Amino acid sequence: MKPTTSSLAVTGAGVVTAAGRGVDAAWEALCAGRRLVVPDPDPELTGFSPIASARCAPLDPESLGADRRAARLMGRHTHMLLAGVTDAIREAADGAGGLEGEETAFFAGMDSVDPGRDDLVSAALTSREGEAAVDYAKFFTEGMSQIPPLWPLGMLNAIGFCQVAIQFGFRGDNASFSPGPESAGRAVIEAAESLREGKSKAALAAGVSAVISARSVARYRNRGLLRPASGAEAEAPEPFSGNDGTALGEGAGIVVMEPLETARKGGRSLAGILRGWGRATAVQGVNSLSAAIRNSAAKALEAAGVSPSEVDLVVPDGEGIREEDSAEAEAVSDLFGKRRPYALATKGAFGHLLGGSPLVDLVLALRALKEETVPPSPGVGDRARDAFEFPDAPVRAEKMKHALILSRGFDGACMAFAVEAA
Amino acid sequence: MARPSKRVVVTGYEVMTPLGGDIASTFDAAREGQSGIDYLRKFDPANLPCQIAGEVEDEWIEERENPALRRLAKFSTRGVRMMLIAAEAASARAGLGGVEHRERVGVAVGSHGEHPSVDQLISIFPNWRPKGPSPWDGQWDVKNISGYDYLQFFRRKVDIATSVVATGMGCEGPTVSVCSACSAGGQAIGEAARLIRDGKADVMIAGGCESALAYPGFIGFVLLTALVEKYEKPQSASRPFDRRRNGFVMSEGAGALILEDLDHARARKAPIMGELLGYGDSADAFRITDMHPKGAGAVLSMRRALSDAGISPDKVDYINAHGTSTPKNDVTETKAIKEVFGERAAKIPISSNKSMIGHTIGAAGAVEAILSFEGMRRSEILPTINYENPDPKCDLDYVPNETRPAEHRVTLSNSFGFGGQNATLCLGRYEDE
Repeated sequence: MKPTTSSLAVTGAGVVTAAGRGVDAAWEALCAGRRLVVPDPDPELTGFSPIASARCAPLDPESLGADRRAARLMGRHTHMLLAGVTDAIREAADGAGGLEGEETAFFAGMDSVDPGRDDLVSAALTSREGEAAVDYAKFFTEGMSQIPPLWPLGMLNAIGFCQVAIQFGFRGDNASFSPGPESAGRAVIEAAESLREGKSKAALAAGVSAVISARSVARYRNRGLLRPASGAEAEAPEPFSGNDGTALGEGAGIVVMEPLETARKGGRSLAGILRGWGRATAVQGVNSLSAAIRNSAAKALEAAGVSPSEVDLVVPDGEGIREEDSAEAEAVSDLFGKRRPYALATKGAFGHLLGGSPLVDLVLALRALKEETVPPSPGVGDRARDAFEFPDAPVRAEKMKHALILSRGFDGACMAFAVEAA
Repeated sequence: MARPSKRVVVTGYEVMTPLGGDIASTFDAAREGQSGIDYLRKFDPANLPCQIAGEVEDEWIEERENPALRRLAKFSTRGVRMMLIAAEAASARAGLGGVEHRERVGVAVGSHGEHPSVDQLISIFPNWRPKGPSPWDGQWDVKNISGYDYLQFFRRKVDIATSVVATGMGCEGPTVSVCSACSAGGQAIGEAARLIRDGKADVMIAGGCESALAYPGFIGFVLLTALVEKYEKPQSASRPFDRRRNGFVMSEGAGALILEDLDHARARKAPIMGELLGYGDSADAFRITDMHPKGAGAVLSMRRALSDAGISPDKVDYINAHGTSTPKNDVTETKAIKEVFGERAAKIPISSNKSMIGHTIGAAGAVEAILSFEGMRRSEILPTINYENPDPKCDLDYVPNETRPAEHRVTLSNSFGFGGQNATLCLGRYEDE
């Protein structure tokens, strides 16, 4: 098969997960079979039934180079983006020179930004009347002034994106999308298209999760997406197990890309190659989810010029939601027939990173190809053993060349990315 | 410079603005130099230094809402309701209902979801449960929060406008939700055009919508002193490029365009109302609250739009400026235009629709692109009203106060986002070649 789109070199990658900052931390956690989804300790969440989550450790924006004034406006989602971009740039800059300026494109999927508890508590306390009432007059005369002036701006999804663009001087082609995994998938595609069309010489694609809070938990819990507690115990997701529900994780994934030929001529060290991508949308009654997943994967492979028989590793979305896992397994079986490719599902380890998920999976797939190793997939059940080969422990898989990453949003948007070892 | 191989044309459009509930009434009022700005009615702005805004009449929205789509109302912010009306009207003009392959029809909207209202914020305050010696130690009793509208979680989502339009209009193609502040509408149109050029869609419903005229949406801009604070009357408060300008007027609205692959439009004999010739974007990478003082991002954005369109600067007949009426933006945009066009800058008519409509934030890029297309169609350039006191730092032709009859074929429409994201659309009259 001949590729239908030009290939792009991944010259740098950054990842932040509950395992810590850096691709190494995430990779080592996977290889060790660690499950970082644990009962969430935040007292703010005690009003819900027990929740499991995979939170990131706090990051200090000033140690990441942010000046104090800018740091005051940054939320934790911006810290994750900043850390990931810092690492990706550092890796890409080895031999590539500076990436700032008009010729560097920057696209990001920014997940929902929610008001922080501390932003409102002071106004709430000032405006309370008795135990269970609010004095509106007090709110307008006193309480309102307790809300930080930049709070409404900090809630704009694009602000964190702009702060990172400012810090690194990215002035080129750009857009910020929101929310969910589809926004990060869109960021990868737009970054790739910007390079393909010659509008930039280097392009960053980023995806960032929501910050775990009562607001974000409520949002996904109300939609029935989080795994309910078993009695008093919070439960981590178990993809392809028949258990139903996912858990939120925090994190970010970033890649720096350049046209493959340019990167090779420049002697860059490559983390891998993005060969192709595909998208399809599942619409109830018209196009089943399984068909949409299969179509997106087939389009990615066709664009890459790779046949299903050449795919060595599949990274399914595997979010732990029963019906969606079943549809994904069915799609993969349809695409690969009786052959079961090696597979890696990360959400049992890191939780569902929402806007961060597609890029973290893409970076870890590239790492697996580079290491010629397939790590275990924590928490994965037996229900997809007909479709995937999930190793129970790290297995050496020499000469692995092609990987397929599957991702989807919560409204039927399915995306797939075909990557190749460098 | 080469034009893109696949041409993207406009086969329908519609707006809702403070000047009118549709494109005809909006344009007619604008060409008369009317202002849509008045004292705020949506909430009590007592004690705030800015008490004016551009509000869309409730009855315009209620009259035009499709009863068949009422099921989507609970998910819809006021801005999304306007967007859905605009998208329906634009689709009807384009005859989009006859397009069978709905998986080839996508949606791209610039918007920002809805802030919780004061009532919603206050409804959770009584549920703060202090624990410990300091009142700051405690937690929200989320189990007992009964007054909080859980659907607000949906309305808060940036992509709710895209989702509602796609659902309401039966679009199964690619969807894009752009959240780049004041350039969101322009960027959504640009991204939609890219999807068509790349062959990912035949048709895109593209545009932007915003309604942040509630206390929590308004207060941030008040605290930043970005809004106008000195004005004799609401109608004269928005005065882009005038020496006495002192801030922008917040407004609400929606704009929807039907973008279509030219071959697809021709094949189905759709009305062609204009062409999206090019799209340019950039980031200032300077400061969150200020534009780059030399307009570096604006320059790059305009140059990229021209390059993308494959035309030289001397072909541009008119510039629909971002023109917010803030002291900094208007000077910087003027500098940027001079940088791109050199001596010819003084000869190009430039005007700001915000003088009449105010700043519709995420909708602005779409509303202004549509008014630009309508202006090219009618051979009229809309004025910058309230231009009374020339500013020596803003010394170009801003089409002061009166509509100018002028055949014009190529327009640049600028949108510069808070935070530093910029978009420029290069728009043209459709020329059959």
